[in-house]
Amino acid sequence: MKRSYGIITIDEDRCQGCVNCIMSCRTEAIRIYEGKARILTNRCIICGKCFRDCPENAITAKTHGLEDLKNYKYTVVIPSSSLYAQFPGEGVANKVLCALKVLGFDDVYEEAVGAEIASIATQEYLKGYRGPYPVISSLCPAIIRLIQIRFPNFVDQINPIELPAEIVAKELRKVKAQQLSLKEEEIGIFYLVPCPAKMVAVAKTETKEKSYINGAISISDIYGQLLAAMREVREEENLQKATGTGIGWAVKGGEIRELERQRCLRSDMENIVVDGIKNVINVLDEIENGKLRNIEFIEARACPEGCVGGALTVVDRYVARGRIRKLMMEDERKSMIEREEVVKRFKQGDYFFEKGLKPKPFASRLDPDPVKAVEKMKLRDEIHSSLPGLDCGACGAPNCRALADDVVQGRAEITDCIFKWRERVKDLAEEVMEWAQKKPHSLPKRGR
Amino acid sequence: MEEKVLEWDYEINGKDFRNAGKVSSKVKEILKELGFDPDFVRRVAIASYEAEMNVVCHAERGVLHLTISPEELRIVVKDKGPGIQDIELAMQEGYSTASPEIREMGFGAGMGLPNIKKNVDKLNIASTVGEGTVVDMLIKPSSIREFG
Ligand SMILES: Nc1ncnc2c1ncn2[C@@H]1O[C@H](COP(=O)(O)OP(=O)(O)O)[C@@H](O)[C@H]1O
Ligand SMILES: [Mg+2]
Repeated sequence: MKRSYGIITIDEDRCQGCVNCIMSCRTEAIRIYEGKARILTNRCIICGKCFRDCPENAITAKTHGLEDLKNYKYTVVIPSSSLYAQFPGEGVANKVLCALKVLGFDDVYEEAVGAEIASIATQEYLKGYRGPYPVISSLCPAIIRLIQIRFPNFVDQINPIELPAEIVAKELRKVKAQQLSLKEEEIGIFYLVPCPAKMVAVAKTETKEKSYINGAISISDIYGQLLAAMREVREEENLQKATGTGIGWAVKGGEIRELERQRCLRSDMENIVVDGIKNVINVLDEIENGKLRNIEFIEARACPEGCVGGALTVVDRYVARGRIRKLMMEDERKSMIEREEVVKRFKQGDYFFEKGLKPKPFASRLDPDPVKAVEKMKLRDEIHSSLPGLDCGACGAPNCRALADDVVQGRAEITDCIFKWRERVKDLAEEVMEWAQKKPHSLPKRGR
Repeated sequence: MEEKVLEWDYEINGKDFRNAGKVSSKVKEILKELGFDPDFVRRVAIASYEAEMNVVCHAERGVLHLTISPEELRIVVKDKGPGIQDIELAMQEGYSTASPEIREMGFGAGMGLPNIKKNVDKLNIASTVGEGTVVDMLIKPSSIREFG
C-alpha cells in the first residue's frame, strides 16, 4: 500500500518500520506507527533527506512525468543546473540539453540563465537594502520552509527575488506564445528538478498566485531514458546559453561567488555559506541569539554540497560538485544576459515575489491556546524526565523528548517506551504476587 | 493562578566558551513552543544571551532562572564572580573590562548590558564586589497574552 503526504509517497510494502528515517530527519517530522513510517506534514520541510537515508527506497516524490507532455501543444523544459553534473565528460552539458529534445520536449531553456538574472537582481536588491541583516538567500525552498516554521522572525529577511526557474518560465511563456501564435495555456513548461523541495515550490508556490511552471519532473525519474537519448543525439544543436556564473548555483557557494565577483557585498560585513539542515539551524539560532553578528548575506542550502546533493539526483554529490566546479572554472564565456536590461526590469519590479512569504510558527507551537500550551509543556517535561533518555527510537519517535511531545499531543502512549512498558508489567506482576499471598480471614495463619 | 507559573533553572559555567549560548537557545525554544510572538522571542533571546555571556566571560559560574507567568517573563541570572564595581559605568556603550583573549574570540565589545537594557522592560542589576552579580530582567509580551 502507498500512503501520500502531499507530493511525498511512502510505499508501505517496502517500509520495514526501521528507525533510519526517524533518526535522520532534522525537523523530527517522521514517526513509526503500526510498523510503518508516517510523516507529520506540518513539521516536514520536504527536503528529501529521508529519501536518501531509507535503506528500502520506500520514500519518493512525484508530481509529473514525460506522460504529461501530451497535454500541451508546445513544451519547454527548464533543466536544473545540477543536471549537467549527472554525466561525465567534457562538453557534455550541451549534449544533455540536446538529449532532452530527443525525449520529446520542443525546446530547452536553462535554469542557469535564470540564475544569472537572479544574481543581478540580488545585487541590485542588496545595494538598495536598508532593512535588518542578514539577508537570507531564497534559492532553497526547503530552507524557506524551515525559516517559516522555526525562525519566523527571519521571514522578512529572505531575499524576495524569485527562483531562477520561475524567472525563466515567466518570460518564456510570453515570448513563445507570441512567436508561435499560441495561447499561453497551450504551452507546457516543465522544470527538471533535483529535489522534492523544488517540486512543491512549483506545485504549491507561496510567492505568487500560480506558478509559471506547469509541472516538475524528477531528474532521477528520467535519468535512464536520458542516458539512452544521449546516444541518439547525432548532430548537436547549440543549446547551451548559460555560463559558469549561473551553472555554479548548483553547488554551495555558487550564489555568493558571483556576488563577490561583482564586488557587491559590503567590505565591512561578513557573509556565510552553510549547507545541511542541522548546520543551517545552528547558524540561524546563533544569529537569533545575537551571537553571530555583522553578517550581510547567508547562502543556506538544505542539501550538503548544494543542489547537486538533492534527493532526486543520481550521481554522488561530491563527484557532482567537482563536475560543476570544473564548468564554473573553465567556462569563461561572456554571459548573454544584458545587465542594463535586467537592472531596468528589476527597477520595474519584475523579478520580485508577487506575494510576501508568511511565517508559520504554529508548527512548533504546543497548542494554539496559551493556557493549554503551558499545561502541555509542564506535562511534557515531567514525562520526558521519567523516560530513560536513551533516544533509542524503539517507540517510533526519534528521541525521548519527541515521545513525551507525542504523548501530550495525544499521538502516542507512554507505554510505547519499551522500558516504561516493562516497568508497568513488573508493577503488575508484583501486584499479582501480593494478591496471591493474601488469604481469607477464615483460614488459619499458618499452613495451606 | 499560582499553578500557571512555569519555572526553569539552567546552570552556566564561566569560561566554557564551547557551550556558551546553549542556555539562551533553550529559553528561546520554550518561548517558541508556547507560541509567543516572534518579536518578543527575539528580544528575550538577545537579553538572555548577553546575560549568559557575561557569566561566561566575566564570572566563575551562575544560574539562569526563567519564570513565565501570565503577565510577564522574568529572567534572573545570578553568578558567583568578581562582581561589578561601578554599575553605571558598566552600563555605558563600549565599556568593557574583557581580556584581550576574550576580545580575540569576538566578545567584549562592551555592548552587552546596553543591549539588555534596550530589549527588556525592566532591568535591575545588583552586585557585590568579590562575591557576584544578579541581573534581574522583566520582559512583557508586546500584546499581553491571556493565560487565563
Ligand atoms: N556578570 C558579570 N560579572 C562581572 N562583571 C561583569 C558582569 N557583567 C558585566 N560585567 C562588567 O561590565 C562590563 C560591561 O559588560 P557588557 O556591556 O556586557 O560588555 P562586555 O561583556 O562586552 O565587556 C564588562 O566588561 C564587565 O567589566
Ligand atoms: Mg557582555
